[in-house]
This record gives sequence, structure tokens and C-alpha cells, in this order.
Amino acid sequence: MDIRNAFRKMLSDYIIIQAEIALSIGIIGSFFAGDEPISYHYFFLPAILGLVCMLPCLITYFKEDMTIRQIILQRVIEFLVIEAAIIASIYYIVGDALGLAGYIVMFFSILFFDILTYGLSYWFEKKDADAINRKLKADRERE
Amino acid sequence: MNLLKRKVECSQEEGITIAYREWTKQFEDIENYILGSGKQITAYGKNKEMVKLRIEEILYFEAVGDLVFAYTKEQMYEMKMRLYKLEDSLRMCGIKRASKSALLNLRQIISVRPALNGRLYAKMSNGEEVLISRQYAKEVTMEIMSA
Repeated sequence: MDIRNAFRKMLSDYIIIQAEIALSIGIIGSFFAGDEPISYHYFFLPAILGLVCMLPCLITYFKEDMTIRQIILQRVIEFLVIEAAIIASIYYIVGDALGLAGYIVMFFSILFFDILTYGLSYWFEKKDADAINRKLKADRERE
Repeated sequence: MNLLKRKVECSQEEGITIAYREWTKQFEDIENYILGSGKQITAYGKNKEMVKLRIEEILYFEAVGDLVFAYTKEQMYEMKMRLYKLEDSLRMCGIKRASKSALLNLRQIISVRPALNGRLYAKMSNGEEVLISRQYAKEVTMEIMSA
């Protein structure tokens, strides 16, 4: 990917990640620490966390032909960074108020959504591939 | 040589029939022209012998370092052209960029499957799989779907 398109894609992904982080903090915080007061500087957390979470993804914008092994390694690192960043930020906001059970639930919910995101992405890609295969088959039958 | 033209009603009857008493080079040239719209490229075999390859024989081109190779079902040939020049000259023959180092003959793709990160694996008519990178997957998809 050329530099210009890579930066454009990075910016759009960064905005999406910020929105996802803000939503997760809002939902989890509402369930487990809904009565805890927070101050305005916590609203910068999604922007900071978004930058941190983008770091393991940078390679995907510039390295075109990663092997399956490299992709899996990159995704594991990305997941661990996301887990660490979100759990650390929630701890920064509410501290021990969430309790161990709350942090365990958060760990698994992040895992669930991470798998769901990639699962959905693969499902859409499979649908597109199936549409291409139907077209290729129709073209061959016409010949 | 006589030339006969006959109008048909449905597209399935469209085609060209070559009537011959003896198969000569002349008929072979006509056949090559019809099959490849006259497009052939010069390549070099294992023993550096020059050959003319019809575009529809070629499955894909691949650049390895400074060298470019053309792959048919049976063999690999070396090209003396750079990949980007091949891409420009064969654009109208169903040859499309698949990655920084490969051009695919879309007419030789049997099927595709997803390959993580928005990439595709294209299975060619000889069973080989060639990677279509994320950058080019959209264009290849549009080309196949609009053909």
C-alpha cells in the first residue's frame, strides 16, 4: 500500500477504534461501576488508548505480503495490547471497585468481541469469495 | 481460400469453423489468432531457446528479484520484459496485477478463497494457488465480476 493510502486507512481505523473503546468503557463502566464519578480528563482515554492499540497494527499497513504465521502473531500481539490497554485504563478510572470478577469478565468480553470482529470479517470475505466463484463457474459453463 | 459468413440467431451458435483439407502453418496461424486474438509474447525456455507463448497458455507471471517468469500448465519460461511493461501491454488480454510481484491471467482462475487480512488465494487451472494481495484484491474482484 502506498504511503498516502496507508495513512488514510490508518486514520479511518483509528477513528473507528476510538469509538469502539469509548463504547466498551461506557458499557462496562455502566454495568460494574455505574455510580463511580469520573472527571473530564478521562474522556481523553479513548484517543490515547486508540493510539496504543494501533501500534501493533502499523505493520499491516506497510507490509503487503505477510505470511499466515506473521498475521496470527500480529493478531495475538494486537489482542494482548488491547486487553492490557483497556484493563489498565479501567483500573485507572475505577481502581479496585470493579473487583477481580469484573476484570475477568472484561477480559473475556474483550476476547469475545475480538474473535467476533475477525470472525465477521472472515465471513464477509468468504461471502465475497463465494460470489466470485459462482461467477467463475458460470463463465466456464458458458464456454 | 473461400470466406463464408452466416448469420445465426443465438449466441451459442456463434463461432468460427475452419474447413481444411490439410492442416498447414497458415491454418495454425489463423487458429492462434482466433484463440489469442493474435497476441503472443516472446519467452525463453530452460535451455534459453526462444519460444512464442500464446497469452491463454500463461497462468501467471512472477517477478523474482530482477527476473520475470511466465508459468504455463507444464513449464516455466523466463521473460525479458519487466513486470510493469507486461502489465501495460497485456492489460486487454485478461492479465491483471495480483501483487507487487505477480500478474494473473484471470481466465485461468478456477476458484478463489479468502486468505486473511482482505487477501485472496486464486487457484489456477494447474492446481497452483497464487496470492492476491489486499491492495489488488478489489480490482481483481471487480474485473472478474464485470467480465
